[in-house]
Amino acid sequence: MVKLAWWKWVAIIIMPYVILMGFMVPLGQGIVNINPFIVKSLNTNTLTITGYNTRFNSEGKIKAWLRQGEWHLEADQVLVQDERHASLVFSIPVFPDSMQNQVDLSLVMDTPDGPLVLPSAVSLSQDVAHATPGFQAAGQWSKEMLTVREESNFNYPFRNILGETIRNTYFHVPLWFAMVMVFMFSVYYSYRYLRFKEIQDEWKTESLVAAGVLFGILGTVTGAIWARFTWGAFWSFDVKQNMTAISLLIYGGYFLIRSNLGDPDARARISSIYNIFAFVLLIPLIFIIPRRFDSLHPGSGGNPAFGSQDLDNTMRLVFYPAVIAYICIAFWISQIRYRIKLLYNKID
Amino acid sequence: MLREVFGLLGKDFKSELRNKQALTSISLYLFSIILVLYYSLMRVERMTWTGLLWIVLIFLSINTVQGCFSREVKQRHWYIYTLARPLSVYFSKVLYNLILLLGLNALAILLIGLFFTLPVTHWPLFILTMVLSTSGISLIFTFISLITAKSGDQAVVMTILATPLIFPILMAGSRLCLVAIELIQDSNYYKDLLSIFAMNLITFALSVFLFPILWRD
Repeated sequence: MVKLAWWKWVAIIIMPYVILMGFMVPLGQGIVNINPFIVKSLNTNTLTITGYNTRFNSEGKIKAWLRQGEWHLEADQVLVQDERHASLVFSIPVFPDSMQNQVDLSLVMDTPDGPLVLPSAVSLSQDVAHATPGFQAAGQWSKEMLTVREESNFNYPFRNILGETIRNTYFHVPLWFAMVMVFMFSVYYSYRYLRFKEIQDEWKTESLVAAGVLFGILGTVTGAIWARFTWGAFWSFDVKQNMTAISLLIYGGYFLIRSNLGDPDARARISSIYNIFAFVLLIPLIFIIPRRFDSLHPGSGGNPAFGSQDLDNTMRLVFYPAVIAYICIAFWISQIRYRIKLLYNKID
Repeated sequence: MLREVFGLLGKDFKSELRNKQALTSISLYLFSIILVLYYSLMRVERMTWTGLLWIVLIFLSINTVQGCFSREVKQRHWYIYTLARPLSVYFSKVLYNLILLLGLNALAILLIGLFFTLPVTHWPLFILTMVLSTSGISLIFTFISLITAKSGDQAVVMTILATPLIFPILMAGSRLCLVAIELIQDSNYYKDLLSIFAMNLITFALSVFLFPILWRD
Protein backbone atom coordinates (compact mmCIF):
# COMPACT_ATOMS: atom_id res chain seq x y z
CA MET A 1 0.00 0.00 0.00
CA VAL A 2 1.37 3.36 -1.03
CA LYS A 3 1.39 5.94 1.71
CA LEU A 4 0.10 9.22 0.38
CA ALA A 5 -1.05 12.42 1.97
CA TRP A 6 -4.83 12.78 2.11
CA TRP A 7 -4.98 15.54 -0.47
CA LYS A 8 -3.29 13.30 -3.00
CA TRP A 9 -6.02 10.73 -2.43
CA VAL A 10 -8.50 13.53 -3.03
CA ALA A 11 -6.89 14.20 -6.41
CA ILE A 12 -6.71 10.48 -7.28
CA ILE A 13 -10.37 9.94 -6.48
CA ILE A 14 -11.78 13.12 -7.97
CA MET A 15 -9.81 13.25 -11.21
CA PRO A 16 -11.31 10.06 -12.77
CA TYR A 17 -14.72 11.24 -11.57
CA VAL A 18 -14.21 14.53 -13.40
CA ILE A 19 -13.01 12.85 -16.59
CA LEU A 20 -15.80 10.27 -16.48
CA MET A 21 -18.56 12.74 -15.72
CA GLY A 22 -17.07 15.30 -18.08
CA PHE A 23 -17.20 13.00 -21.05
CA MET A 24 -20.05 10.59 -20.27
CA VAL A 25 -22.93 12.82 -19.20
CA PRO A 26 -24.93 13.71 -22.30
CA LEU A 27 -25.74 17.19 -23.41
CA GLY A 28 -29.26 18.51 -22.98
CA GLN A 29 -31.48 19.15 -25.95
CA GLY A 30 -30.96 22.24 -28.02
CA ILE A 31 -31.77 23.80 -31.37
CA VAL A 32 -28.89 24.06 -33.81
CA ASN A 33 -30.67 25.45 -36.86
CA ILE A 34 -33.77 27.43 -37.64
CA ASN A 35 -35.06 28.36 -41.07
CA PRO A 36 -36.01 31.03 -42.10
CA PHE A 37 -34.46 33.71 -39.87
CA ILE A 38 -37.09 36.30 -40.66
CA VAL A 39 -40.81 35.94 -40.07
CA LYS A 40 -43.46 38.36 -41.25
CA SER A 41 -46.39 39.62 -39.25
CA LEU A 42 -49.90 39.31 -40.72
CA ASN A 43 -48.72 36.12 -42.44
CA THR A 44 -48.61 32.43 -41.78
CA ASN A 45 -44.98 31.39 -41.29
CA THR A 46 -43.56 27.90 -41.24
CA LEU A 47 -40.30 27.52 -39.31
CA THR A 48 -38.21 24.41 -39.84
CA ILE A 49 -36.03 23.59 -36.85
CA THR A 50 -33.19 21.12 -36.42
CA GLY A 51 -32.66 19.90 -32.90
CA TYR A 52 -29.66 18.43 -31.13
CA ASN A 53 -30.16 15.50 -28.76
CA THR A 54 -33.89 16.01 -29.09
CA ARG A 55 -36.61 13.35 -29.23
CA PHE A 56 -39.41 15.19 -30.98
CA ASN A 57 -41.11 11.94 -32.04
CA SER A 58 -41.42 10.52 -28.55
CA GLU A 59 -44.71 10.27 -26.68
CA GLY A 60 -46.18 13.52 -25.42
CA LYS A 61 -47.38 16.77 -26.83
CA ILE A 62 -44.94 19.46 -28.01
CA LYS A 63 -45.80 23.12 -27.81
CA ALA A 64 -43.90 26.13 -29.14
CA TRP A 65 -43.99 29.86 -28.56
CA LEU A 66 -42.35 32.94 -29.99
CA ARG A 67 -41.49 35.31 -27.21
CA GLN A 68 -40.34 38.89 -26.74
CA GLY A 69 -40.24 40.33 -23.23
CA GLU A 70 -43.39 39.19 -21.48
CA TRP A 71 -45.36 38.76 -24.71
CA HIS A 72 -45.65 35.37 -26.34
CA LEU A 73 -47.55 33.72 -29.16
CA GLU A 74 -48.31 30.02 -29.39
CA ALA A 75 -47.71 28.01 -32.54
CA ASP A 76 -50.83 26.90 -34.39
CA GLN A 77 -49.31 23.55 -35.26
CA VAL A 78 -46.20 21.53 -34.49
CA LEU A 79 -45.44 19.04 -37.26
CA VAL A 80 -42.86 16.46 -36.22
CA GLN A 81 -40.80 14.86 -39.01
CA ASP A 82 -38.34 12.77 -37.05
CA GLU A 83 -36.56 12.96 -33.73
CA ARG A 84 -34.42 15.93 -34.79
CA HIS A 85 -36.59 17.77 -37.27
CA ALA A 86 -39.90 19.55 -36.84
CA SER A 87 -41.88 22.32 -38.49
CA LEU A 88 -43.66 24.99 -36.51
CA VAL A 89 -46.54 26.91 -38.04
CA PHE A 90 -47.13 30.39 -36.68
CA SER A 91 -49.76 32.80 -37.89
CA ILE A 92 -48.54 36.07 -36.50
CA PRO A 93 -50.65 39.13 -35.74
CA VAL A 94 -48.97 42.54 -35.39
CA PHE A 95 -46.70 42.66 -32.35
CA PRO A 96 -48.52 44.95 -29.91
CA ASP A 97 -45.74 46.51 -27.91
CA SER A 98 -43.19 47.89 -30.32
CA MET A 99 -43.17 50.75 -32.80
CA GLN A 100 -40.11 49.32 -34.51
CA ASN A 101 -40.11 47.52 -37.81
CA GLN A 102 -37.91 44.70 -36.52
CA VAL A 103 -38.61 42.74 -33.36
CA ASP A 104 -36.24 40.11 -31.99
CA LEU A 105 -38.09 36.97 -31.00
CA SER A 106 -36.95 34.01 -28.96
CA LEU A 107 -38.25 30.52 -29.54
CA VAL A 108 -39.50 28.62 -26.50
CA MET A 109 -40.57 24.98 -26.75
CA ASP A 110 -42.11 22.63 -24.28
CA THR A 111 -41.22 18.98 -24.85
CA PRO A 112 -41.60 15.87 -22.71
CA ASP A 113 -37.84 16.07 -22.00
CA GLY A 114 -38.08 19.62 -20.70
CA PRO A 115 -38.00 23.16 -22.03
CA LEU A 116 -36.06 24.27 -25.11
CA VAL A 117 -35.05 27.89 -25.56
CA LEU A 118 -33.36 29.58 -28.49
CA PRO A 119 -32.67 33.24 -27.71
CA SER A 120 -32.99 35.70 -30.63
CA ALA A 121 -34.20 32.87 -32.83
CA VAL A 122 -35.95 34.89 -35.52
CA SER A 123 -36.58 38.51 -36.23
CA LEU A 124 -40.09 39.67 -36.92
CA SER A 125 -40.60 42.04 -39.82
CA GLN A 126 -43.61 44.27 -39.22
CA ASP A 127 -43.82 45.69 -42.73
CA VAL A 128 -47.52 46.09 -43.64
CA ALA A 129 -46.74 45.77 -47.35
CA HIS A 130 -46.05 42.05 -46.89
CA ALA A 131 -49.43 41.38 -45.25
CA THR A 132 -51.53 38.58 -46.68
CA PRO A 133 -54.97 39.94 -47.70
CA GLY A 134 -57.74 38.64 -45.51
CA PHE A 135 -55.33 37.27 -42.92
CA GLN A 136 -56.91 35.80 -39.81
CA ALA A 137 -54.64 34.88 -36.93
CA ALA A 138 -55.48 31.73 -35.02
CA GLY A 139 -53.68 32.83 -31.85
CA GLN A 140 -53.08 36.14 -30.14
CA TRP A 141 -50.06 37.70 -28.41
CA SER A 142 -50.64 37.16 -24.71
CA LYS A 143 -49.00 37.98 -21.42
CA GLU A 144 -50.11 34.92 -19.46
CA MET A 145 -47.50 32.89 -17.64
CA LEU A 146 -45.92 30.16 -19.75
CA THR A 147 -46.00 26.76 -18.13
CA VAL A 148 -43.50 24.20 -19.33
CA ARG A 149 -42.55 20.73 -18.15
CA GLU A 150 -39.49 20.38 -15.95
CA GLU A 151 -36.18 19.12 -17.25
CA SER A 152 -36.28 15.42 -16.48
CA ASN A 153 -32.86 14.10 -17.55
CA PHE A 154 -29.43 14.44 -16.00
CA ASN A 155 -27.41 16.40 -18.54
CA TYR A 156 -25.39 19.52 -19.26
CA PRO A 157 -27.13 22.53 -20.73
CA PHE A 158 -26.95 23.13 -24.45
CA ARG A 159 -25.47 26.56 -25.14
CA ASN A 160 -25.55 28.02 -28.57
CA ILE A 161 -22.00 28.29 -29.85
CA LEU A 162 -20.56 25.99 -27.19
CA GLY A 163 -22.35 22.76 -28.04
CA GLU A 164 -20.38 19.74 -26.88
CA THR A 165 -17.34 21.88 -26.08
CA ILE A 166 -19.05 22.96 -22.87
CA ARG A 167 -17.28 19.97 -21.32
CA ASN A 168 -14.01 21.88 -21.61
CA THR A 169 -15.23 23.99 -18.68
CA TYR A 170 -13.96 21.19 -16.42
CA PHE A 171 -10.55 21.00 -18.07
CA HIS A 172 -9.78 24.63 -18.92
CA VAL A 173 -11.18 26.85 -16.18
CA PRO A 174 -9.83 24.91 -13.15
CA LEU A 175 -6.31 25.21 -14.57
CA TRP A 176 -6.46 28.97 -13.90
CA PHE A 177 -7.76 28.47 -10.39
CA ALA A 178 -4.90 26.07 -9.71
CA MET A 179 -2.37 28.42 -11.29
CA VAL A 180 -3.38 31.41 -9.17
CA MET A 181 -3.46 29.23 -6.04
CA VAL A 182 0.02 27.86 -6.69
CA PHE A 183 1.41 31.33 -7.39
CA MET A 184 -0.11 32.57 -4.14
CA PHE A 185 1.66 29.84 -2.19
CA SER A 186 4.90 30.58 -4.02
CA VAL A 187 4.63 34.16 -2.79
CA TYR A 188 4.13 32.85 0.73
CA TYR A 189 7.29 30.75 0.49
CA SER A 190 9.19 33.68 -1.03
CA TYR A 191 8.20 35.73 1.98
CA ARG A 192 9.26 32.90 4.29
CA TYR A 193 12.62 32.69 2.57
CA LEU A 194 13.24 36.42 2.95
CA ARG A 195 12.21 36.16 6.59
CA PHE A 196 13.99 33.01 7.75
CA LYS A 197 16.61 32.52 5.01
CA GLU A 198 16.09 28.79 4.70
CA ILE A 199 17.06 27.55 1.27
CA GLN A 200 14.32 24.90 1.30
CA ASP A 201 11.71 27.62 1.11
CA GLU A 202 13.38 28.95 -1.99
CA TRP A 203 13.28 25.51 -3.62
CA LYS A 204 9.61 25.30 -2.74
CA THR A 205 9.04 28.69 -4.34
CA GLU A 206 10.76 27.67 -7.53
CA SER A 207 8.88 24.38 -7.74
CA LEU A 208 5.56 26.10 -7.18
CA VAL A 209 6.27 28.76 -9.79
CA ALA A 210 7.31 26.07 -12.27
CA ALA A 211 4.07 24.15 -11.64
CA GLY A 212 2.10 27.38 -12.01
CA VAL A 213 3.77 28.20 -15.31
CA LEU A 214 3.08 24.65 -16.52
CA PHE A 215 -0.58 25.07 -15.64
CA GLY A 216 -0.61 28.47 -17.29
CA ILE A 217 0.74 27.01 -20.53
CA LEU A 218 -1.78 24.16 -20.36
CA GLY A 219 -4.56 26.67 -19.72
CA THR A 220 -3.50 28.70 -22.72
CA VAL A 221 -3.40 25.61 -24.93
CA THR A 222 -6.77 24.24 -23.80
CA GLY A 223 -8.19 27.73 -24.16
CA ALA A 224 -6.81 28.08 -27.67
CA ILE A 225 -8.29 24.74 -28.72
CA TRP A 226 -11.61 25.72 -27.20
CA ALA A 227 -11.47 29.09 -28.97
CA ARG A 228 -10.82 27.35 -32.29
CA PHE A 229 -14.12 25.49 -32.04
CA THR A 230 -16.24 28.30 -30.62
CA TRP A 231 -14.83 31.67 -31.69
CA GLY A 232 -13.28 30.32 -34.89
CA ALA A 233 -9.56 30.91 -34.33
CA PHE A 234 -6.89 29.60 -31.99
CA TRP A 235 -5.94 33.12 -31.02
CA SER A 236 -8.38 35.97 -31.41
CA PHE A 237 -6.44 38.60 -29.43
CA ASP A 238 -9.06 38.60 -26.76
CA VAL A 239 -7.93 40.68 -23.80
CA LYS A 240 -7.70 37.69 -21.47
CA GLN A 241 -5.68 35.69 -23.97
CA ASN A 242 -3.22 38.56 -24.25
CA MET A 243 -3.06 38.99 -20.48
CA THR A 244 -2.17 35.34 -19.98
CA ALA A 245 0.57 35.65 -22.56
CA ILE A 246 1.92 38.66 -20.67
CA SER A 247 1.74 36.94 -17.30
CA LEU A 248 3.66 33.99 -18.73
CA LEU A 249 6.26 36.52 -19.93
CA ILE A 250 6.47 37.95 -16.41
CA TYR A 251 7.16 34.52 -14.97
CA GLY A 252 9.61 33.90 -17.79
CA GLY A 253 11.48 36.83 -16.27
CA TYR A 254 11.61 34.93 -12.99
CA PHE A 255 13.49 32.07 -14.63
CA LEU A 256 15.66 34.51 -16.56
CA ILE A 257 16.84 36.13 -13.31
CA ARG A 258 17.57 32.71 -11.84
CA SER A 259 19.60 31.59 -14.80
CA ASN A 260 21.59 34.84 -14.75
CA LEU A 261 22.75 34.41 -11.17
CA GLY A 262 25.30 31.82 -10.21
CA ASP A 263 25.50 32.45 -6.49
CA PRO A 264 22.70 30.43 -4.81
CA ASP A 265 22.09 32.98 -2.04
CA ALA A 266 21.84 35.97 -4.36
CA ARG A 267 19.70 33.92 -6.71
CA ALA A 268 17.35 32.93 -3.93
CA ARG A 269 17.04 36.44 -2.56
CA ILE A 270 16.62 38.33 -5.80
CA SER A 271 14.27 35.82 -7.42
CA SER A 272 12.15 35.72 -4.25
CA ILE A 273 11.86 39.49 -4.27
CA TYR A 274 11.01 39.48 -7.97
CA ASN A 275 8.41 36.77 -7.39
CA ILE A 276 6.56 38.85 -4.81
CA PHE A 277 6.81 41.97 -6.96
CA ALA A 278 5.59 40.13 -10.07
CA PHE A 279 2.67 38.45 -8.36
CA VAL A 280 1.34 41.67 -6.89
CA LEU A 281 1.54 43.38 -10.28
CA LEU A 282 -0.13 40.33 -11.82
CA ILE A 283 -3.31 40.96 -9.84
CA PRO A 284 -4.35 44.11 -11.71
CA LEU A 285 -3.25 42.47 -14.94
CA ILE A 286 -5.54 39.47 -14.53
CA PHE A 287 -8.39 40.73 -12.40
CA ILE A 288 -8.78 44.49 -12.91
CA ILE A 289 -7.68 45.58 -16.37
CA PRO A 290 -9.61 42.95 -18.41
CA ARG A 291 -12.88 44.17 -16.89
CA ARG A 292 -12.46 47.50 -18.65
CA PHE A 293 -12.15 45.89 -22.06
CA ASP A 294 -14.59 44.00 -24.23
CA SER A 295 -13.91 40.32 -24.13
CA LEU A 296 -15.26 37.16 -25.63
CA HIS A 297 -14.81 35.45 -22.29
CA PRO A 298 -17.70 35.36 -19.87
CA GLY A 299 -17.11 37.65 -16.92
CA SER A 300 -15.93 40.68 -18.88
CA GLY A 301 -17.66 43.92 -19.72
CA GLY A 302 -18.92 44.01 -16.14
CA ASN A 303 -20.67 40.64 -16.17
CA PRO A 304 -20.25 38.24 -13.28
CA ALA A 305 -18.10 35.31 -14.27
CA PHE A 306 -19.75 32.39 -12.58
CA GLY A 307 -23.36 33.42 -12.38
CA SER A 308 -26.27 31.10 -13.01
CA GLN A 309 -25.90 31.89 -16.73
CA ASP A 310 -22.67 29.94 -17.08
CA LEU A 311 -22.99 27.05 -14.69
CA ASP A 312 -26.13 25.12 -13.89
CA ASN A 313 -26.52 22.76 -10.98
CA THR A 314 -25.45 19.69 -12.94
CA MET A 315 -22.26 21.38 -14.02
CA ARG A 316 -21.50 22.55 -10.49
CA LEU A 317 -21.50 18.89 -9.44
CA VAL A 318 -18.46 18.37 -11.64
CA PHE A 319 -16.88 21.81 -11.79
CA TYR A 320 -16.19 22.42 -8.10
CA PRO A 321 -14.63 18.98 -7.53
CA ALA A 322 -12.56 19.58 -10.66
CA VAL A 323 -11.19 22.81 -9.19
CA ILE A 324 -10.19 20.99 -6.01
CA ALA A 325 -8.59 18.14 -7.93
CA TYR A 326 -6.59 20.44 -10.18
CA ILE A 327 -5.28 22.44 -7.23
CA CYS A 328 -4.20 19.21 -5.50
CA ILE A 329 -2.48 18.02 -8.68
CA ALA A 330 -0.64 21.32 -9.09
CA PHE A 331 0.71 21.02 -5.55
CA TRP A 332 1.59 17.39 -6.17
CA ILE A 333 3.61 18.25 -9.28
CA SER A 334 5.44 21.02 -7.47
CA GLN A 335 6.16 18.70 -4.56
CA ILE A 336 7.73 16.13 -6.87
CA ARG A 337 9.92 18.85 -8.36
CA TYR A 338 10.89 20.00 -4.90
CA ARG A 339 11.84 16.46 -3.87
CA ILE A 340 13.98 16.06 -6.98
CA LYS A 341 15.79 19.25 -5.95
CA LEU A 342 16.30 17.84 -2.46
CA LEU A 343 17.78 14.63 -3.89
CA TYR A 344 20.11 16.53 -6.23
CA ASN A 345 21.25 18.54 -3.26
CA LYS A 346 22.04 15.34 -1.32
CA ILE A 347 24.16 14.09 -4.22
CA ASP A 348 26.16 17.32 -4.54
CA MET B 1 15.56 61.23 6.44
CA LEU B 2 14.23 64.09 4.28
CA ARG B 3 17.63 65.77 4.31
CA GLU B 4 19.23 62.50 3.30
CA VAL B 5 16.79 62.10 0.39
CA PHE B 6 17.36 65.62 -0.88
CA GLY B 7 21.08 65.34 -0.37
CA LEU B 8 21.21 62.20 -2.49
CA LEU B 9 18.89 63.77 -5.04
CA GLY B 10 21.10 66.84 -5.26
CA LYS B 11 24.15 64.63 -5.64
CA ASP B 12 22.51 62.73 -8.52
CA PHE B 13 21.55 65.90 -10.32
CA LYS B 14 24.93 67.51 -9.76
CA SER B 15 26.83 64.54 -11.13
CA GLU B 16 24.40 64.44 -14.04
CA LEU B 17 24.89 68.10 -14.81
CA ARG B 18 28.63 67.73 -14.46
CA ASN B 19 29.20 64.95 -16.97
CA LYS B 20 25.88 65.31 -18.87
CA GLN B 21 26.31 61.72 -19.98
CA ALA B 22 22.77 60.46 -19.49
CA LEU B 23 21.02 63.62 -20.61
CA THR B 24 22.92 64.04 -23.86
CA SER B 25 22.79 60.38 -24.79
CA ILE B 26 19.08 60.12 -24.02
CA SER B 27 18.26 63.30 -25.89
CA LEU B 28 20.20 62.07 -28.90
CA TYR B 29 18.45 58.73 -28.62
CA LEU B 30 15.08 60.47 -28.53
CA PHE B 31 15.94 62.66 -31.46
CA SER B 32 17.13 59.76 -33.60
CA ILE B 33 14.05 57.66 -32.76
CA ILE B 34 11.77 60.47 -33.83
CA LEU B 35 13.76 61.10 -37.01
CA VAL B 36 13.54 57.41 -37.89
CA LEU B 37 9.81 57.43 -37.23
CA TYR B 38 9.40 60.59 -39.27
CA TYR B 39 11.19 59.26 -42.32
CA SER B 40 9.46 55.89 -42.16
CA LEU B 41 5.96 57.18 -41.47
CA MET B 42 5.93 60.80 -42.75
CA ARG B 43 2.44 61.43 -41.41
CA VAL B 44 0.37 59.51 -38.88
CA GLU B 45 -3.29 58.84 -38.32
CA ARG B 46 -4.64 59.59 -34.85
CA MET B 47 -4.84 55.89 -34.00
CA THR B 48 -1.18 55.40 -34.92
CA TRP B 49 -0.26 58.56 -33.05
CA THR B 50 -1.03 57.07 -29.60
CA GLY B 51 0.87 53.92 -30.44
CA LEU B 52 3.84 55.97 -31.60
CA LEU B 53 3.73 58.11 -28.46
CA TRP B 54 3.73 55.09 -26.17
CA ILE B 55 6.52 53.31 -28.03
CA VAL B 56 8.69 56.41 -27.81
CA LEU B 57 7.85 56.95 -24.13
CA ILE B 58 8.46 53.36 -23.04
CA PHE B 59 11.78 52.86 -24.78
CA LEU B 60 12.87 56.30 -23.70
CA SER B 61 12.03 55.44 -20.09
CA ILE B 62 13.76 52.07 -20.24
CA ASN B 63 16.92 53.68 -21.55
CA THR B 64 16.79 56.50 -19.03
CA VAL B 65 16.16 54.44 -15.92
CA GLN B 66 18.29 51.51 -16.97
CA GLY B 67 21.56 51.48 -15.11
CA CYS B 68 20.60 54.18 -12.61
CA PHE B 69 22.00 51.98 -9.84
CA SER B 70 25.15 50.83 -11.61
CA ARG B 71 26.31 54.19 -12.90
CA GLU B 72 28.23 55.01 -9.72
CA VAL B 73 31.81 53.96 -9.41
CA LYS B 74 32.27 51.10 -6.96
CA GLN B 75 33.83 53.16 -4.16
CA ARG B 76 31.15 55.83 -4.23
CA HIS B 77 28.49 53.12 -4.25
CA TRP B 78 29.90 51.64 -1.04
CA TYR B 79 30.23 55.10 0.45
CA ILE B 80 26.52 55.77 -0.09
CA TYR B 81 25.71 52.21 0.95
CA THR B 82 27.29 52.67 4.35
CA LEU B 83 26.14 56.23 4.87
CA ALA B 84 22.51 56.42 3.77
CA ARG B 85 19.46 54.48 4.80
CA PRO B 86 18.11 52.17 2.06
CA LEU B 87 14.76 53.92 1.93
CA SER B 88 16.31 57.32 1.37
CA VAL B 89 18.29 55.84 -1.50
CA TYR B 90 15.05 54.48 -2.88
CA PHE B 91 13.12 57.75 -2.55
CA SER B 92 15.92 59.77 -4.04
CA LYS B 93 16.25 57.43 -7.02
CA VAL B 94 12.51 57.33 -7.67
CA LEU B 95 12.28 61.12 -7.45
CA TYR B 96 15.32 61.54 -9.67
CA ASN B 97 13.90 59.18 -12.29
CA LEU B 98 10.48 60.76 -12.05
CA ILE B 99 11.78 64.30 -12.60
CA LEU B 100 14.06 63.17 -15.40
CA LEU B 101 11.30 61.17 -17.10
CA LEU B 102 8.75 63.96 -16.78
CA GLY B 103 11.18 66.36 -18.45
CA LEU B 104 12.16 63.90 -21.17
CA ASN B 105 8.56 62.90 -21.83
CA ALA B 106 7.58 66.54 -22.21
CA LEU B 107 10.46 66.93 -24.64
CA ALA B 108 9.36 63.80 -26.50
CA ILE B 109 5.77 65.04 -26.80
CA LEU B 110 7.07 68.41 -27.97
CA LEU B 111 9.24 66.78 -30.63
CA ILE B 112 6.42 64.51 -31.75
CA GLY B 113 4.22 67.59 -32.02
CA LEU B 114 6.92 69.31 -34.06
CA PHE B 115 7.52 66.46 -36.48
CA PHE B 116 4.00 65.07 -36.65
CA THR B 117 0.90 66.55 -35.05
CA LEU B 118 -0.60 66.97 -31.60
CA PRO B 119 -4.19 65.79 -31.99
CA VAL B 120 -4.87 66.19 -28.26
CA THR B 121 -8.11 68.03 -27.54
CA HIS B 122 -8.59 67.21 -23.88
CA TRP B 123 -5.37 68.63 -22.43
CA PRO B 124 -6.02 68.31 -18.67
CA LEU B 125 -6.84 64.62 -19.05
CA PHE B 126 -3.84 64.07 -21.30
CA ILE B 127 -1.44 65.74 -18.89
CA LEU B 128 -2.90 63.91 -15.91
CA THR B 129 -2.56 60.60 -17.77
CA MET B 130 1.02 61.36 -18.67
CA VAL B 131 1.96 62.36 -15.12
CA LEU B 132 0.25 59.32 -13.55
CA SER B 133 1.65 56.80 -15.99
CA THR B 134 5.11 58.35 -15.90
CA SER B 135 5.16 58.05 -12.13
CA GLY B 136 3.99 54.44 -12.38
CA ILE B 137 6.66 53.71 -14.96
CA SER B 138 9.37 55.34 -12.85
CA LEU B 139 8.26 53.35 -9.77
CA ILE B 140 8.32 50.01 -11.57
CA PHE B 141 11.43 50.71 -13.62
CA THR B 142 13.46 51.92 -10.64
CA PHE B 143 12.76 48.68 -8.84
CA ILE B 144 13.45 46.50 -11.88
CA SER B 145 16.60 48.49 -12.55
CA LEU B 146 17.95 47.52 -9.13
CA ILE B 147 17.02 43.87 -9.75
CA THR B 148 18.83 44.05 -13.09
CA ALA B 149 21.85 45.70 -11.47
CA LYS B 150 21.98 42.92 -8.89
CA SER B 151 21.64 40.15 -11.44
CA GLY B 152 24.42 40.70 -13.91
CA ASP B 153 23.42 44.14 -15.22
CA GLN B 154 22.59 43.37 -18.82
CA ALA B 155 20.53 45.99 -20.64
CA VAL B 156 18.41 43.36 -22.36
CA VAL B 157 17.36 41.87 -19.00
CA MET B 158 15.92 45.23 -17.99
CA THR B 159 13.83 45.38 -21.18
CA ILE B 160 12.60 41.81 -20.80
CA LEU B 161 11.66 42.20 -17.15
CA ALA B 162 10.20 45.68 -17.30
CA THR B 163 8.05 45.58 -20.42
CA PRO B 164 5.49 42.96 -19.33
CA LEU B 165 5.22 44.53 -15.88
CA ILE B 166 4.06 47.92 -17.15
CA PHE B 167 1.35 46.41 -19.33
CA PRO B 168 -1.53 47.35 -17.01
CA ILE B 169 -0.36 50.97 -17.05
CA LEU B 170 0.19 50.84 -20.78
CA MET B 171 -3.30 49.51 -21.46
CA ALA B 172 -5.12 51.96 -19.22
CA GLY B 173 -2.87 54.81 -20.32
CA SER B 174 -3.24 54.29 -24.05
CA ARG B 175 -6.99 54.00 -23.62
CA LEU B 176 -6.99 57.32 -21.76
CA CYS B 177 -4.89 58.81 -24.56
CA LEU B 178 -7.49 57.70 -27.08
CA VAL B 179 -10.11 59.46 -24.97
CA ALA B 180 -7.93 62.57 -24.77
CA ILE B 181 -7.58 62.80 -28.56
CA GLU B 182 -11.32 62.05 -28.85
CA LEU B 183 -10.89 58.94 -30.92
CA ILE B 184 -13.13 57.01 -28.55
CA GLN B 185 -15.92 58.17 -26.29
CA ASP B 186 -15.86 56.85 -22.76
CA SER B 187 -17.61 58.52 -19.87
CA ASN B 188 -16.03 56.03 -17.46
CA TYR B 189 -12.45 57.11 -18.14
CA TYR B 190 -11.98 58.04 -14.49
CA LYS B 191 -11.91 54.28 -13.78
CA ASP B 192 -8.76 53.98 -15.86
CA LEU B 193 -7.22 56.95 -14.06
CA LEU B 194 -8.15 55.36 -10.78
CA SER B 195 -6.66 52.01 -11.72
CA ILE B 196 -3.35 53.61 -12.75
CA PHE B 197 -3.34 55.53 -9.48
CA ALA B 198 -4.09 52.36 -7.50
CA MET B 199 -1.33 50.49 -9.29
CA ASN B 200 1.10 53.28 -8.46
CA LEU B 201 0.13 53.05 -4.80
CA ILE B 202 0.50 49.25 -4.76
CA THR B 203 3.89 49.43 -6.50
CA PHE B 204 5.05 52.12 -4.12
CA ALA B 205 4.00 50.20 -0.99
CA LEU B 206 5.55 47.02 -2.34
CA SER B 207 8.81 48.76 -3.23
CA VAL B 208 9.07 50.38 0.21
CA PHE B 209 8.68 46.91 1.69
CA LEU B 210 11.03 45.07 -0.67
CA PHE B 211 13.68 47.64 -1.58
CA PRO B 212 15.65 47.55 1.71
CA ILE B 213 15.92 43.74 1.49
CA LEU B 214 17.13 43.97 -2.08
CA TRP B 215 19.50 46.86 -1.42
CA ARG B 216 21.39 45.11 1.37
CA ASP B 217 23.70 42.50 -0.08
